[in-house]
Amino acid sequence: MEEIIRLENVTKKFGGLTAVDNFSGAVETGSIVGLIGPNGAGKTTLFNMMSCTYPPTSGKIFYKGMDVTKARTDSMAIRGLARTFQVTKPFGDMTVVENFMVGAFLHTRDRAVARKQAEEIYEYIGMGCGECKAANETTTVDRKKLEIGRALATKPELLLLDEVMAGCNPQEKLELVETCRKIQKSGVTLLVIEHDIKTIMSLCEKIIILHRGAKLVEGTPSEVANDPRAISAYLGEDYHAGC
Amino acid sequence: MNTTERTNFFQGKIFAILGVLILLVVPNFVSTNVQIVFILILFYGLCASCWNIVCGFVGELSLGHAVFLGFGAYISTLLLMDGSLSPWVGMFIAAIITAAFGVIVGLPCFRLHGPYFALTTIALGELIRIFVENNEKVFGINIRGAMGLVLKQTGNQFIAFEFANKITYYYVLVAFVAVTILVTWLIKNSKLGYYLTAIKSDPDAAESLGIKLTKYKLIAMAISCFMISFAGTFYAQYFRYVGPTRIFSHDMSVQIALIALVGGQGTVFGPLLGACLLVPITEFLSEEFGGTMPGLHLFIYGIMMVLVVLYMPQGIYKNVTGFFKKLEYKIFGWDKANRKSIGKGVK
Repeated sequence: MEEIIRLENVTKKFGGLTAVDNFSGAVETGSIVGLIGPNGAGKTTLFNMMSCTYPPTSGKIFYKGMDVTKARTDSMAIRGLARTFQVTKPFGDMTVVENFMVGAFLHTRDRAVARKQAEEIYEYIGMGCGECKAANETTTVDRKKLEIGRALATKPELLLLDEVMAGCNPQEKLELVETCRKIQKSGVTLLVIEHDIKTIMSLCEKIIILHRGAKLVEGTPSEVANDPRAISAYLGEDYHAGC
Repeated sequence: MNTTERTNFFQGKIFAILGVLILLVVPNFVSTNVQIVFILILFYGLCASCWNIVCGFVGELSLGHAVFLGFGAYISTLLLMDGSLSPWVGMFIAAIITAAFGVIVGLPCFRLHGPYFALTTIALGELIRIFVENNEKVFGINIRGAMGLVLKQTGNQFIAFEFANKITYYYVLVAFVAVTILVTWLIKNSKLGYYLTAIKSDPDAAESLGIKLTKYKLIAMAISCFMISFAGTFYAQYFRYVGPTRIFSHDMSVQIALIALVGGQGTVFGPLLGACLLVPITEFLSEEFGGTMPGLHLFIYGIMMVLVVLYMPQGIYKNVTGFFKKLEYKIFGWDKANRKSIGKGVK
């Protein structure tokens, strides 16, 4: 299958700290890939490099076959890459729908068109709050949904979700898993960072485990779950026994 | 029921309409001294509205906007004095040059944020002031240094932007303000407005949604400079004198910014409201206490400013409109038809 994004020997150093160490990997078009690993493993750094927030120290990133290593963040959105933020960044002064409109304006100048698209996304994503509510008055789960919705409004082909389920209760997590599946079915490729192993095992087709900036294991959920390296570094003996 | 907001026939706008009517009609029937105060209100309201287009929406504090005001005044006046070009034409040439200058200045400045941006704009303002004060000629153009440009009184000539009475100046200013408010409203309800508000809220998130930060900031800057340049032309024609010490002064920049901040940045009518509040107070206080207790008016002014910043950091706009809406409901009640539908909603 075709690869939507490919990283080749990517390294990122912040001064003396190597956050990502010689990482290579790819995401196939149309799939859901999970990215897991302990805190500080370099997951978000990897996301930031994919969305061109900062360039890698060395290595190359290819998006749909094109070298985007030194591209600008805003140009990635136009190319079809959208992301959410681990620490949610709503546009607080605006309503939820207006937040989505900002995303929708990427492909239109017309305010009415943007509004219509934003309202469609609002329905699609199933927010629990009122339309008029200011974005900074919403609950955690609605903020996470707002992040997803705003990214979706840019009509992405690849969506990077950075811990959207963190801080949500089991019921809300189920809802978000359903939303992710729905998004995948509509033809969007998903790359998901998550800490809830159960959720990610059931959601993803492929899982990559990062450990100290380097790729530890890559494979299907069952392969990963039974890999001794993954168990010792991250999953733990209990998880293996639980399976 | 979707709308929980109470409303009546006037839709909470009766006092806004009243306020606009006062601004339109009353200056006709008052003494020249009061007319001057009205002109100052609108002049500062105009400047603050222009400031608001870039700084209010983007959320950066420019303390050098007098530079662009001065550019407008100088260019149109020089075109009139040395080129005998009517200010009505000259002001557009001035506006284009000012906008271009604003973009050139904005390019490096918008890489900075918060206090660094503010400090840079202060430096820009002082730089231009000192330069103009100390140079007689720039590129062969006689800018007359610290003396400034003095326009001769020639009488009542429309083509020369010169009128015998204050009230004509006032209505010209009303037109300028109306255009600026319209432009602000159009921006607020367009893609540009949404993008600027997004940039103000969270630049990182905005950028991830494909917003070119610098591009949109510069567009706003260009519009702001374009509009404030008209205010500069008005200033020159109204006072018949452009002095670098006053028009490029740091005081002028700060006053423009403060009026917009007190009024409510990022709102359409906030800056004008701020001018309606602050300018008359300044004028009244300096007239009342200027002679007997010099400095007291600044003291009172300062205290007011501190109170507003402490208790209404978003500006007075929300509080004032809210207060007048409530007052309107008290006086007029709310619409019968609407009350019925509210009743239905309860069922």
